[in-house]
Amino acid sequence: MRTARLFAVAFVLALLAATPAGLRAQEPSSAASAPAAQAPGGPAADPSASLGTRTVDASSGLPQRAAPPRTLRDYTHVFVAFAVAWILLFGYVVSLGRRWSAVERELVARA
Amino acid sequence: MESLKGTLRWAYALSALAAASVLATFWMIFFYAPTEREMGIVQRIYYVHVPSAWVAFLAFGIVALCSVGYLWLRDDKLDAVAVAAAELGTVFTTIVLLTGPLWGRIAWGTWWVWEPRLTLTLLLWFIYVGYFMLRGATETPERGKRFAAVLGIVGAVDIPLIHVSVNWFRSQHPQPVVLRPEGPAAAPEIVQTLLMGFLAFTLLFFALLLFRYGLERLRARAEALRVRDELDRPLSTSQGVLR
Repeated sequence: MRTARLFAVAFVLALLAATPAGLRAQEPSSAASAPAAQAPGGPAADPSASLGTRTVDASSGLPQRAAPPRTLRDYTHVFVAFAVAWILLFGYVVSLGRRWSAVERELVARA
Repeated sequence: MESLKGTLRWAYALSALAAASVLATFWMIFFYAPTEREMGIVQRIYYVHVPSAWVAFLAFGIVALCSVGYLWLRDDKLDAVAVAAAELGTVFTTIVLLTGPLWGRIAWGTWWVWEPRLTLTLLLWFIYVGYFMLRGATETPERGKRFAAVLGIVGAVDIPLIHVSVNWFRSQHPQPVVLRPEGPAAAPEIVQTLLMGFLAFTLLFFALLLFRYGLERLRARAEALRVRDELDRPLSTSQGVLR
């Protein structure tokens, strides 16, 4: 249990250390990033483009909505990816519960 | 044998924290993080794919450390932690290997490419599937534990290779955009959502690890009782014959 506590403390400290540094480092990188290639049917190339950087309206400085996906296939892939991940994890939890009950039954029977 | 009450108390506490952080992560993924401009909505797979990969690497790192400890000290508790972590690592690697192609199909136009990072990740999955096959394929459980511990250590060598493969080889897989020395190249909302995903998946991993460790300890108890019963049986039979 001591190891688990150490892991928990180390992880929280690492997160606390990484978050502000990450956000500080973000400020110059989004301003200095190169223009992105224009996607077919998407918005015009924007100097703020980087992974996930919002399109910013130059006049107001407010973030605008990103370009909508061109087909519904993207949504299907996102849905399937999330469904697969959570079904797998849920299945694992169920399997763990079943194995636990089986061992407990055996222990009761042998005790 | 020690009580599992403490382990279970921690497991339930971590499960509650994990459930809360998973809900928060979901909210951030779908309502807080912006839609990536070039890849669009499909980039949101990133928030499951990358934390799953992190947890898988963490799990296999724990397997390697506990395996070294087991080979050195021959403590069954270390072997129990290693088995639990290996099983969870395999589950999370499976998630990585299933969500990656779903993203790649849209981003690259293909489900799978035999490029270094993907191939090494698949190799990692096979190594740890082999870990379980090896445990069950030996004459005695002790030998199985020993062999599996060696494989657990050797398999972990693949983890740094996967991490550096995008820099060492020509790779189609994207370079790191958040976990890089110069700082993240992504929007703050994306970085925050990803960090929340890391937290949620890590809490979930440790909660499941404790439950799985508890199961392994219970199995050891059941095995001890089984052996005791086996030893008692011939004696009672012979007593019956003598009567």
